[in-house]
Amino acid sequence: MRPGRAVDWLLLPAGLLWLAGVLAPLLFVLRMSLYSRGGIAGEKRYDILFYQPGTWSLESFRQILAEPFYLRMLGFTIGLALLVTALTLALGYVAAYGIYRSGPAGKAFLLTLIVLPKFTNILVYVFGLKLLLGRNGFWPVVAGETLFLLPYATLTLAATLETVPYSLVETARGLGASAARAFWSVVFPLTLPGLLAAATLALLWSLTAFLGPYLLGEPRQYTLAVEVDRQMRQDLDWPLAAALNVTLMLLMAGVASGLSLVRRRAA
Amino acid sequence: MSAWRSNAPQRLAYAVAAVSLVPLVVSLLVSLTPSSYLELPRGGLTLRWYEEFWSGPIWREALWHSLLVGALATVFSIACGLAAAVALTRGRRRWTAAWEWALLLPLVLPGVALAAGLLAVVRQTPLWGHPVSLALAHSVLAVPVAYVALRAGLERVDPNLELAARGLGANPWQAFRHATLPQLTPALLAAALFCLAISLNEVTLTLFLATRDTETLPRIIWPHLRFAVTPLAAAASGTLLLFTLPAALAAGWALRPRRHRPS
Repeated sequence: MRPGRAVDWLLLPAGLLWLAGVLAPLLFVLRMSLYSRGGIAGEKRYDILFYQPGTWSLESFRQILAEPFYLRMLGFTIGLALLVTALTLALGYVAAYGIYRSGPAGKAFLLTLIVLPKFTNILVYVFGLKLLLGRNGFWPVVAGETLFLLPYATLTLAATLETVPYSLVETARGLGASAARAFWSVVFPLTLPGLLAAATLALLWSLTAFLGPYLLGEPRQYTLAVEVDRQMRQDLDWPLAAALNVTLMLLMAGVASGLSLVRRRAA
Repeated sequence: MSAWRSNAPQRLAYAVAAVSLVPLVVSLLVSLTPSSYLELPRGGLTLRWYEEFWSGPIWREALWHSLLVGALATVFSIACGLAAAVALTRGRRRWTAAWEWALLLPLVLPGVALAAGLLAVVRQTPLWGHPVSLALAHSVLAVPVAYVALRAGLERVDPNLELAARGLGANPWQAFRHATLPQLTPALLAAALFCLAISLNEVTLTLFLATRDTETLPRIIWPHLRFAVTPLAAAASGTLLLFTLPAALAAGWALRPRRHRPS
């Protein structure tokens, strides 16, 4: 960095907040995952209650990879994410296609309707969903998580569809293609990059599913993120909570780099 | 028949939007029920649960905390986001991509990971249990959104006005203040409302970081959602909506597409 560029100093507030609010917490989680668990009886100091300072241990990771309880939870988290992503993309595509085929006023109106739930507290939303579905279980969790993610997928897909000139469809129809064929062989391939972007976001966010499983699910539907909360705030096994967090983030990093590889190969 | 078929995509989109709005409508209707149980109102609506909400000191205090934290978080996020957006739209190009990657990272981090780490960090500082710590934590999530909205706003501002002001003898701050800032007002307003909505709606960080002294509305609604329930929690939800919904509509209005926008 060249010194004396006044404009560069403007990065200072955001940079400081980033160091304290993003980097430091991540480093804490990383270090915490390598402590031995605490819980020494009679100990008055808080930090020794939650973990043993100064220790290095892989026991929390070993526990996650050895106990069937955590392996099942890991599998469930991934399966739920895949199902939610598929449903979100399907519904989001339907909504985005409707936006694409609307006039300017209709576009604005539909977008507002789709985005509206994101401006209300998610607890208000879950509250209504809970009343509507009547009981907790697998499908309420899937419905909740899909509806949470729907606005993001719709916005991404609508933005991609806007770049496809409708005249292409009219040309295909004029050349004798059926409506379905015109869609699948003209429009759909052109929206693949947007679909991949939407899939990446939906997959990353549904892997971190927390409020849906917690508030709409039974214990069988609890995900890694729910277990992090339980270990952090109830069982007070902070190293295990941190190791679950690291596992989750490694999973997300794997998904993100895998999908960006797909994108690069396609480009 | 053919008119109906050409409208089919829109109909399907409206159906999807309607389904996604039903939980919201149900939640609001239940808050107006005269019954003591969670059920849709039968035979008339009542504001009784809202009255109970406003007469409960715990709920009123939680609302005050929510609004205080929201206001602080908005100020912090706009300050950080605006400064960063100015620096990265005016400054050098070399590090821009890396800065943006870092600034947007909190958006994809798992909420529970960020919350767990922040809990460990904040507990070491005197800010633990202070509304400012909650506001700063919310800012971590709101800065990326403020940054994106303000960068978009800055890119639409005509840079020649600021150059002209500089040429006429204004210093950089005066040129920014009098030439650029007035053009940025809609984007600033929208960004501020986004930040306020993010703070008022944030649940995960709040659950981890709020203490007895900083209980906000989502934190108080939480046990009501998990365990038992009267329509009081619905009324609390409805009250939150009262603050965030106008913010949403105002943000949409401030960002509405304008005809002269270059595209």
